[in-house]
Amino acid sequence: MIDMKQFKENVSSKIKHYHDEDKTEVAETPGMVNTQQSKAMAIGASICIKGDVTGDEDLVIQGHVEGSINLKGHNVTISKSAKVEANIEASQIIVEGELSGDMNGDEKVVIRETGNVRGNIIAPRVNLEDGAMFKGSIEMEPRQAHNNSNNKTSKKDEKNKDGIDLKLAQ
Amino acid sequence: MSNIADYSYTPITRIDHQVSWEAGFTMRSPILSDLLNSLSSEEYLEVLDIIPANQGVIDAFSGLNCKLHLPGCLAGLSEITTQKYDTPTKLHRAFTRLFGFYKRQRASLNVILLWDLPNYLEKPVMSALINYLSEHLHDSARLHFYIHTKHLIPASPGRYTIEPGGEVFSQNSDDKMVESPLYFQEALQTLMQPFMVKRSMLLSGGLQEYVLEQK
Repeated sequence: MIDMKQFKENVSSKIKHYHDEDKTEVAETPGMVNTQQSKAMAIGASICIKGDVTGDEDLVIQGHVEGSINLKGHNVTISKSAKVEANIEASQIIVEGELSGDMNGDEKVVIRETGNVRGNIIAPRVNLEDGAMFKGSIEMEPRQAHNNSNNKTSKKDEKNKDGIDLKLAQ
Repeated sequence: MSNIADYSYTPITRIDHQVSWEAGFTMRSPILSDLLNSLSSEEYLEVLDIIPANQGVIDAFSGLNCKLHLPGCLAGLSEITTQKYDTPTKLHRAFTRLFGFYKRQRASLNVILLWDLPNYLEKPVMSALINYLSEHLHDSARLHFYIHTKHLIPASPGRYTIEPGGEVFSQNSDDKMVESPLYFQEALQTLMQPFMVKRSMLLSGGLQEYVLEQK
């Protein structure tokens, strides 16, 4: 038996979601967040997870996670309200809340102004916004080596313009 | 046109310290700049920076194959006194806690950036700090810092960051002033054994810039 009333409600709600797809931060189904780039699964502010989180889609954490998060090839966002005690492996990791744990970002790690991180980072690019708190270490891979060597030659020409060289011990 | 020339003059050196410390100012730091330029992008390096992590320092080392230790321990270090930590063991424990160099996280440091912290540490604390860091040094380790040459200095260490052009942005973090220890080179070398002064330069902002190497 099909409940037509229920069926009509489902269809109308799906049409509504289809029209709202371009808007950001629209919940499509419980636990889903629609971002500008892609849909991401969300762990809500009241949710507390203890254990290993794995999967094949982007994740937005608003609640509390303790354990490990492994989402290789996907993005993880730790929202302002989130408190995470876990090691994270992902493509891009964005921290707006509190994180205690190591981050391994294949693409980059971003710690926003409101972010507070204690742990170690391995990533080719790390962005630390003004006001962000970070204690730990950053393991960087060599990049822009060519640009750097170009900078070096230009810097060498400019050096020693200011100041008095008092001692040069060999 | 000649009238303007009569009454104008060009200062011999750029006087950075005329800009208020509160607002901060950018200064050339040739020794630090040379130090950064001398680092090899092939070799794996470990760098310790004690000030709170900031993007400028991250960017300065981002082209290198390196591990950047950012324990953010400047405030903690500047609060260490021999009154609170009256034995070498207590000092050692305090440094381990602040740097996070526990047994499984030992470091082999190639570059240590202390900024202007040496001006704010008691002499025994300074010696103990260098002694502690010497357990975590690579053979080629270099120690960089600034010494104030003015009699009065801000009561707490300044904020520093490395700007994209290689210059250093310096900002005062304290309105109160205290007397400077006015360290001379010989005194520093005694305090900072096993390091010796490799190069020193007086900057136009009133800071003496130093880089030290192991003997």
